[in-house]
Amino acid sequence: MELNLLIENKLGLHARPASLFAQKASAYKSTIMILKGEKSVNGKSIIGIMGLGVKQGESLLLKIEGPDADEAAAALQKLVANKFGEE
Amino acid sequence: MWKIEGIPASAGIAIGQIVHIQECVHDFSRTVTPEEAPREKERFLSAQQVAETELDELMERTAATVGEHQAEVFAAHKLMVQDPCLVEAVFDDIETNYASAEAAVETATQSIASMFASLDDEYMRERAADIKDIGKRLMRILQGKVEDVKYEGILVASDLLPSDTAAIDFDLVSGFITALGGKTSHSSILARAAGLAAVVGVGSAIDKLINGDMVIVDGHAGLVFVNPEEAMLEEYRQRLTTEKARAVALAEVGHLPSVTVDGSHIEVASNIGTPADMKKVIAAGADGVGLFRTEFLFLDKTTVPTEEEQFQSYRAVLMAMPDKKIVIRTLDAGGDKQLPFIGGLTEANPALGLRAIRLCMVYQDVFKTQLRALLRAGVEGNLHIMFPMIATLDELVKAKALLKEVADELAREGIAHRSDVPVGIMIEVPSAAVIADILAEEVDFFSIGTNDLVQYTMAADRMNEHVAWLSDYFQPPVIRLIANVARAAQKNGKWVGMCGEMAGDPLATPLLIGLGLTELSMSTRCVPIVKNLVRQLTVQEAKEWADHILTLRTTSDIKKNLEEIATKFDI
Repeated sequence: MELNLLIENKLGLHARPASLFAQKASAYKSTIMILKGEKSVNGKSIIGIMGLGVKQGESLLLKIEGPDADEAAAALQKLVANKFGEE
Repeated sequence: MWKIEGIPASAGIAIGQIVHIQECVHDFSRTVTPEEAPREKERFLSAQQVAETELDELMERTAATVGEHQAEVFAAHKLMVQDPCLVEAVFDDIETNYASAEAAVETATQSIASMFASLDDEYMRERAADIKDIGKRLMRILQGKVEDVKYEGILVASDLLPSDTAAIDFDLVSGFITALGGKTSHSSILARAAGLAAVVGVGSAIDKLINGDMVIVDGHAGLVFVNPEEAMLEEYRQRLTTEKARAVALAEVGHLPSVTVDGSHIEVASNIGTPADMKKVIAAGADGVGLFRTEFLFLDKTTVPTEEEQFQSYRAVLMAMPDKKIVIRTLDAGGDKQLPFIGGLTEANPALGLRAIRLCMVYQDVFKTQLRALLRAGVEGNLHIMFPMIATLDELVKAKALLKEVADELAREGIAHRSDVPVGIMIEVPSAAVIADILAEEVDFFSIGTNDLVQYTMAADRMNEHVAWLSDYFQPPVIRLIANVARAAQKNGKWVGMCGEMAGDPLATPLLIGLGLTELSMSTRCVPIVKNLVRQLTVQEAKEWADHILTLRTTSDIKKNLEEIATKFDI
């Protein structure tokens, strides 16, 4: 499944949000890819996510495939919508 | 048993097992045979496991000693060590290029670091350093080495740099042996300050020492006995007991008046971080507290500490030494010490950003709460308030106005407080050192913070090993700034002290006293040593030395001169 996410928190996907995202993603069996522009990275990789250099106001495309894709999508969507608990 | 002869650098005896301080060597084979590739993968995986355990420990220790917030860095490092991107790159390199685990880790971490370095975001660019750190850690583990912070016993190294001595836990280490160095080289002086037995300049003999060898380090004679017989061990154990008694005597010097031969009083004070430190301060015989860093009250908290909470802490310190001067520095946060309750502020250059007094001017409520707590605690003892990072007269005037405002509030509310607390500033920004004559009119005292003053004067990040040679408080420009500050203070009848690392370095003591400083505040461990030296000095002579040192053109000339001066005294 595919999913669009708008990153609204102030810091974008800096170290802490990136690590929260990767940790959450790693809890699921599904493969999770993040696409931004030309780049695509493993959503379970903090290095990959930070390497995208996502800033506030930018959006990402998530591609999730696997047995628990729906749950993973819901959890990640919630994490992003909550702005990673920043505010 | 065999014997090594060297230079007696630091008197004292140490008995124990030796451990070599490892230097990172990069001689590993870059490739393996196809058959060996699976083994390299396993080597990587077990190194990864060791790294995770190390980071867990580091996280726990940092959380306990520094704060939860600081410990998060290592949590991030742990995630990076486990990162699928890294693992994939390493495995790929091993499988397709038959790279050794070391080569694969080096290549992968370097390419990830340069990926970060190419991002258009300063904060992210700095993450390249985290990746490099992980690379170094994995590399060290792959080469079978232990983490350097766990050194215990007697250290053996080719040379011991000040940065090494700073990393040593003095409760665990009792002596050291080095291949290089002389009696008055800087590291030997630091060893004496730390009370470690040391024999230096033993040359290639260190190569014959094996980790775990039992040795006696005789720092008086400059001898090292390797795997000695029981009779000799017994003899030295007895001498060690006598030594300890002598150390007690030096500790007593700590309690003698801190007066020079010609009768000038030089306050030898302690730097502290929490009220609990006061026990050691009193035991060492310090003449008070020259720097109480109040950050501990703030850094671990998710909310601003209450006025009452702060009042109790300040009061505890003042009441521990009611008749001694206690200098409390207002909040020096921001930069690398982020406050959780203020939230992540993204700055391209935190050391030059919104920190210390600048941050307090933005969060005036936080600042005023602290000032209220301070003025209330002030009735309990000899409180002095110090503002950090002052760069301009305006900042100082504003901070003083807020202090006045708070005092008026307390008076209106009828709350007991002291309104005439002496106010001073840290001199750590070169701009303040340059306009010290202007600032001197508005303060009661100056305290020079050498760590930041050096960093800002030399434009060299003090944590950056690549520019470490610039981070030296014996750089002529730093000495000149200190001289300028001291002159300005004296002209205005104000006292000037120092609370940076330099204040606890006995090599610097004659120079600082010669320049006119009358207070030196240091790590409590250094108090008896510096006081012992103060008691041997003559201010007049120190002035002549200082005048001469101000004419010297290089750091090495200055150090050489100070090392010569040091030989005249019992340090």
